[in-house]
Amino acid sequence: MTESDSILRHPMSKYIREDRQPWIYCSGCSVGVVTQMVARAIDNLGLDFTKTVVVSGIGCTGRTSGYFKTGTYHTTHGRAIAFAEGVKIANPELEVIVVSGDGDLAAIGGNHLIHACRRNIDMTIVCVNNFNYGMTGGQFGPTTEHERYSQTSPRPVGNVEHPFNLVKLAASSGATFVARWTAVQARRATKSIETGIKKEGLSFIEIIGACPTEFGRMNRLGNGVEMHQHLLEVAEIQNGLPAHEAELHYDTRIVCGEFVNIEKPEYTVVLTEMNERLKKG
Amino acid sequence: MDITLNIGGEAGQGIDTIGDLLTQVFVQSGFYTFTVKDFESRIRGGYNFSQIRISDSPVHAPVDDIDLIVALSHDAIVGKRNQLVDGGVIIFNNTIDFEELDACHYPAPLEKTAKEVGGNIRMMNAAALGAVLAVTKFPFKLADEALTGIFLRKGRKIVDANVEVAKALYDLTMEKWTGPCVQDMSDVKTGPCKDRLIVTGNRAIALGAMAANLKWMSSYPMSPSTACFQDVVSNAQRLKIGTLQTEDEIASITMAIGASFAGARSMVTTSGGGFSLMVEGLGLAAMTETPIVIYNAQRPGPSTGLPTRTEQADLLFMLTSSQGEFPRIMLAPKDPIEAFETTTRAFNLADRFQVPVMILGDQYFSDSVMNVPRFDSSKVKIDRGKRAPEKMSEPYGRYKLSEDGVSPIAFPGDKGRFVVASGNVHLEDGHLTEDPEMRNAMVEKFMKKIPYILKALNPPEVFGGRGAETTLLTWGSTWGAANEAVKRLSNKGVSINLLHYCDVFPLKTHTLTEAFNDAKRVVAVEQNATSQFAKLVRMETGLTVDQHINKYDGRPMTPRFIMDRLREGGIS
Repeated sequence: MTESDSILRHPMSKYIREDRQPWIYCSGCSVGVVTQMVARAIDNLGLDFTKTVVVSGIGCTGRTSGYFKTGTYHTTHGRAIAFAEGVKIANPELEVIVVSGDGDLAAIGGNHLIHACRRNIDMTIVCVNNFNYGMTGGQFGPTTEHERYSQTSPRPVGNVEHPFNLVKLAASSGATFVARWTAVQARRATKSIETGIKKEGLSFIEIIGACPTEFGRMNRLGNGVEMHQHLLEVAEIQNGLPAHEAELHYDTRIVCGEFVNIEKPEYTVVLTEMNERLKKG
Repeated sequence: MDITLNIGGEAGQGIDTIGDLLTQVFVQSGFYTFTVKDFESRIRGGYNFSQIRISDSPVHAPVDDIDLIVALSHDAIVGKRNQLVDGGVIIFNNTIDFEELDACHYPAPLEKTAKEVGGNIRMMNAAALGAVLAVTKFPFKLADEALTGIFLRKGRKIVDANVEVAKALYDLTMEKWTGPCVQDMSDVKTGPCKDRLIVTGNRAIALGAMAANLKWMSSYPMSPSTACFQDVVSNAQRLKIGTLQTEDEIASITMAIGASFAGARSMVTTSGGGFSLMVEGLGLAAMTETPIVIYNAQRPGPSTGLPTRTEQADLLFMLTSSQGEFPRIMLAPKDPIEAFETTTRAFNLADRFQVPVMILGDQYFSDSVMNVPRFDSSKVKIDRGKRAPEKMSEPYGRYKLSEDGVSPIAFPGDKGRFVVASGNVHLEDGHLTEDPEMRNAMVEKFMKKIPYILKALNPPEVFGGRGAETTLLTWGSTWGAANEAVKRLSNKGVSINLLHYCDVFPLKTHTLTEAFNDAKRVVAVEQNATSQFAKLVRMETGLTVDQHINKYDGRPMTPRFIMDRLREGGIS
């Protein structure tokens, strides 16, 4: 390696499989930014990479797991959380991080999401919400706003359905740490991912991202830079706000912050404690 | 001695409790028992029964003739009357309003005796036992010893109370009841059977799994598989098994794959409807070569079908389930004894070949109760297959190409290596690829496993000697009824034998070809409408079965059913 090569290397590249690059992501996409957030969070915490498993589902964000230089598992569509639960309970020493998209986690995988939150299994879920199914060409998903356009909700009618607010969903399902940031609030989002990883319990971090190629194009929201600028403009930081007030209106107001940070017995800890108690008894 | 008792009544009346007590008494007295459970999909009411066959030689199937009925409801008094043999007896609780009394009817004060002598209506089972024993003139002393064995764990008081209630009704019946009974067991001594473990197919599977060092089970309750999951859950703390009742069967199998990826021997239990949801996960396990054992206790479908009844109609569905092509192993134990051994084998096969292994039971197999010799878990061999060595000269790749198609496995957390896996087509290091040559190599890797799997599977068994004119072809639980039909017909001089498969896929064809050469006719006997195993045989060998015996009413096969169909086909 020459000196100039090393200068060009990204500080996070030690965690990333450079042999897998270039990234599959379109220019202007937020998924690469989120990948970096996760890498920085891992770096800041000094996690043992051999004891970390990154799990993802299917879709653009689902491809993230394959870029990490750690044990990774790329599951079927929607099943990242279910798989991760098995890994974590079978070996609680492993640090389990799920990175996937809104369609994967909240539509086809929605049932697993709410039940994992309810069970409170120690894992960190990073959900990149770009308001549509990107990988399949831009169809509406569970977070697409009413009347937005997509390949399956075309003009002039747009989306007949109404979106989930994932922060409210995760909080009411029992997650012990819930946050939302946009892809431009990289530093704050990274901190929340760190808090999520450290948290003994289920952490759900939603990152609002831009999909200029599909969602942006069909709704005339501009290119990647413009979409990220917009996110910065409408983001409103309200740390500690009750989760049920964490509104999300793409055009006008995206409430960001850490909304839930509560203590609740964690699944694998309870199991271990029960075992100890029974052994003594 | 070969006697069949039928205990019928409404759900919630304690039919099972009476049945269990009777079974235990006869098992403790040294007899072979075989019990089938017939119940509706409801928790209270309806008409359900337990039918116990007791013999001094091994029994593996129910029969149609009933010698004695214990009825706790009006429906149960009349429900099986047409199957009662001449000289059979129907004992019923005399509080039931029933007036068309025949010689076979015995209204007995079951409830009254339980309350007055035992002080507890729950002792009706002991009362029923007393009545059954008296009617058949079974020596009370034998039962007395058995009761002591059964209840001693609960204390002397409970033993005495139960014995008193049983004795009270026994004496009363001896004194008052003068009706005829075809069964006279007054000369009966302790029987020859020493097998004291009373198990169902479900329990044998659970025991087999636990003996095989099962470390993970995630399931969603579904009849008739649930009891197997419950058995494992009850032992989970003691044996350090991770168990989780999931939100659906998609989660069950996906979690189990996750646990297996993390290094735990993993299994899921379900029935056909749940397996439908698991099909996606089956493909994921196959593609990522993650070992997994799937137990499907079949019930009649499609859809909800008959939730508490039996059928063998998921064979071809399980054989071809999931998109794509990959090796899989399918095993169908014939009874609880074979189920224990088959389950331990299933885990070894899953680990050795890193493929999904499916165990096919059915409600008849799963819920039937038998007394069997104690399972010896110390004899269970555990083979976890090829593990990646600790020191490796090159970076670890989960899917390294190899001569037998199996790559050394490593688990996340193993020192100095990262395990990468993907449901997409992947490279040797686990990262996805779309390269056509790599795709070919990975498909061929799958296919290379098949000859080795075939070598590791058990061949089919022939019962009743080789070279008969007629050969019955069975798989899984239909063995019991078919084997008994073969025995009975052979005794009558009919040239007939039985070729039976436990390891149904991949199909070992050698014995099959021989059997088709030897026999004039091969008759498939299956608990389904379309002879699915016969179809599999034809698909794999081109051999066509000559005749078919099918049963698809949800009730188990009996020897007579098979013999009647054979007679219709000119074999008797």
